[in-house]
Amino acid sequence: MGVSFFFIFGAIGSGIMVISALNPVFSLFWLVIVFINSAVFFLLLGVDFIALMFLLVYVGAIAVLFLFVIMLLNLTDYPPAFFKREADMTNYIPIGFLIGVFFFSEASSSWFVLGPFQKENWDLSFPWLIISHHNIEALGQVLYVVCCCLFILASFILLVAMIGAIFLTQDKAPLGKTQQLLGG
Amino acid sequence: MSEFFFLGCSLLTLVILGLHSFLLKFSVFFLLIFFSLYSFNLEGGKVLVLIGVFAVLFLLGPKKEEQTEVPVLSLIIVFGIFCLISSTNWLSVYLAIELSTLCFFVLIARGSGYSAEAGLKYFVLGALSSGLFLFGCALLCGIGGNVHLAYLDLIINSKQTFSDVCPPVGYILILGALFFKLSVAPFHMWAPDVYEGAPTKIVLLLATVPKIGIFSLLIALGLPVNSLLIGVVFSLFVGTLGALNQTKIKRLLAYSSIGHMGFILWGFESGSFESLQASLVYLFIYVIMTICVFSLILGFHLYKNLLIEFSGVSRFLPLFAVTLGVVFFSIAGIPPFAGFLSKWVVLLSGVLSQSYFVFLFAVFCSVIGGVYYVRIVKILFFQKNSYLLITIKALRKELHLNFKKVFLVGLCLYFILFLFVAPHLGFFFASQTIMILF
Repeated sequence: MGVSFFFIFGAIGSGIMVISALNPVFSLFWLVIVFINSAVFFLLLGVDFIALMFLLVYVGAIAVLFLFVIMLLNLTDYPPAFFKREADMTNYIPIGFLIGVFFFSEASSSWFVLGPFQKENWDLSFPWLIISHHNIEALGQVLYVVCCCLFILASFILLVAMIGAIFLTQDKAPLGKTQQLLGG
Repeated sequence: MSEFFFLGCSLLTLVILGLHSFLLKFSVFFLLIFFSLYSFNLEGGKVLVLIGVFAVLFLLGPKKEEQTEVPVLSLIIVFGIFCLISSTNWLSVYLAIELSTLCFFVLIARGSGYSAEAGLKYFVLGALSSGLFLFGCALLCGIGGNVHLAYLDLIINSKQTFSDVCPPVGYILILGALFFKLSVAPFHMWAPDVYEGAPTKIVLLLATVPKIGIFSLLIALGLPVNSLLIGVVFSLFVGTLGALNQTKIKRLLAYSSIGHMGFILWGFESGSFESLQASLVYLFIYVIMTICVFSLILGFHLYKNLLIEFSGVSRFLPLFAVTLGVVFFSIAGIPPFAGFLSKWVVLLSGVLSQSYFVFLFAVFCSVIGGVYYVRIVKILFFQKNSYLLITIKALRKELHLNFKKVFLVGLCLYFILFLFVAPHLGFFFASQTIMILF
C-alpha cells in the first residue's frame, strides 16, 4: 500500500510541476513522469493493459508529439504566464474547481456503488468475469471473439482515415501556367 | 451482428468497384437498390437515409473528385448510419458515429473558401462530443455492468413510469454528445459555420443523413425526458431568433434546421405512439424539403451565397421563383403544403399529451420563424436588382439546372404539394416503423 501511495503522490507532485515549470520542455518532461507514475500505479492495481497503454500511447506517441510542437513553436523566448504580474490566473479557479469536483464525485460515486458488495479490498481486477486469464489475454479474447464485428468496423474507420488523408492532400486543380524567371 | 458482416462485405465490393471510376454510378445504384430491398423490412429510418443519399448521388457533377472519392465516402457514411440504426450496444454506437463523422470531416474540408475552417470546426467539436459520449458510456457501463443498451434500460427504468425517471450523469453526457451531432440548441454553435463553409452537396448530406441515424438511436435509448425538453425549447428559440438577422442563405437554412430539430425532438419527448409517429412524419417531410431547397440552390449557382442575389428572380425566371417560393412557404408551414401537415401533426400530438406551454411556445416560435421565410419570398418577387448585382449576374451563367436536378426537384415538389391531399402513405410508413419499436 505504501508503494502505491508513493506513486500517487509522485503523480500529483509532478502534475503540479507540469504547470509551474519555467521551461515548456521541462514541463513536458514532468508530464512524462506523471504518465509513468500513473502507469506504475495501474500496474500495482492489477490492470496491466491500461498501464501498457499509458506507456505506449501517452509517453510514446502524445508526449513526443507535444515535444515536436513545442520545438516548432519556439516558445523559449516568452516568460511563462504564471510569473507575469498582469496575468491573472484566478479566473481559472472556478471552472477548474467545478471540473475537479465533477470528476471526483463521479469516481467516488462508482466506489460507493460498488462498496457494499466488496468491503475487504478495492481490487479493480476482481470483478472480471474471466479471472483465470491474464489481463491482456482476457481482453484479447473479448476483442477478437465476442466483438469481432466491431473490430472489422474499427478497421473501416482506419480505411476512411487513409482515403481521407489521400483525398485531402492531393492537388485540387492543376495550377495555371506561370512565367519562369531567369535567376529566380 | 451478422448484419454487420453482410453490410461490410457489400461495402467492400462497392469500394473495389469504385476504384474503376467508370463503373461507379452503376455499382452505386445497383448496391443501393440491393441495400433497400434488404433493409425494407427492418427499420424505416434506413429508407429515409437511402432517400437522402440517393439525392446526393444524383446531384454529383462531372468533376473528377465527384466521380470517385465523394460517392465512396458518402456510401461509407450510409454504412456507418446503417450500423448506427441497427446497433445494440454502446461500442458499436460509438464506432458507427465515428465512422460517419470522419467521412463528413473529409468531405467538408475538401471544398473551397472557408471549407478548411468549417472542416476543422466540425472535426474538433466532433472530437469533443465523442469524448463526452465515451465518458458517459464509461459511467453508464460502471452502473449497469454491461455494454448493451437494453441492459441498462432494465436497471434504471425497472420500476418507474416512463416520464419520472431521474437520469444519471452518464445519460446527460451522452445526450449532450448526441445533441452536438444533431445540432440541437445548447450545442448548435458549429452548425451555421459548417453549413456556410462546406460544399452545398455535402451540406445536403449533412443536413439529412446523420440526423436520421441519431434520431433512431434516441428512440432506441431509454429517454431521459426532462433533459430532452430543454433541448426542444432552446432549439425552437435559437432556430427562430438566430435566423432573423442572417444575410447568407446557407446560414439561414442552418438555423432553420435547428428549429426543425426542435420540433422533431418534441415529438420524441412526448413519448406516446402518436407523437413518435408524428415526429417520424416530420422527419420524412423535413428530408424531402431539404433535398428540394438544396437542389434548387445548387441549380441557381449563387455567387457568394447571399440572400439578395435572389432579388428579382421572378422577372426573368418565373417558374424557378414560384418553385422556390412554394418550398419556402412549405418550410414556413403555410397551410396547403406538406410543411404545414408535419407541424400540425406534431403540435396536435403535443396538445394530446397535455403540454400546453410548450405548445404555445412552439406556435409562437413558428409564427416568428415565418417572417424570415416569407422575407425570402419577398426578395424573390418584389425586390429590385441593385446595380452591383446586375454586373455580377451579367458575368455568369444564370441556371445550372440539368435533367437530374429538375427530376429531383419535381419529385420532391410532388410530395410537398400533394402530401396534404392524401397523407396516408407517410403515416402508414411511420406507423410501420413505430410498430417495430413497441
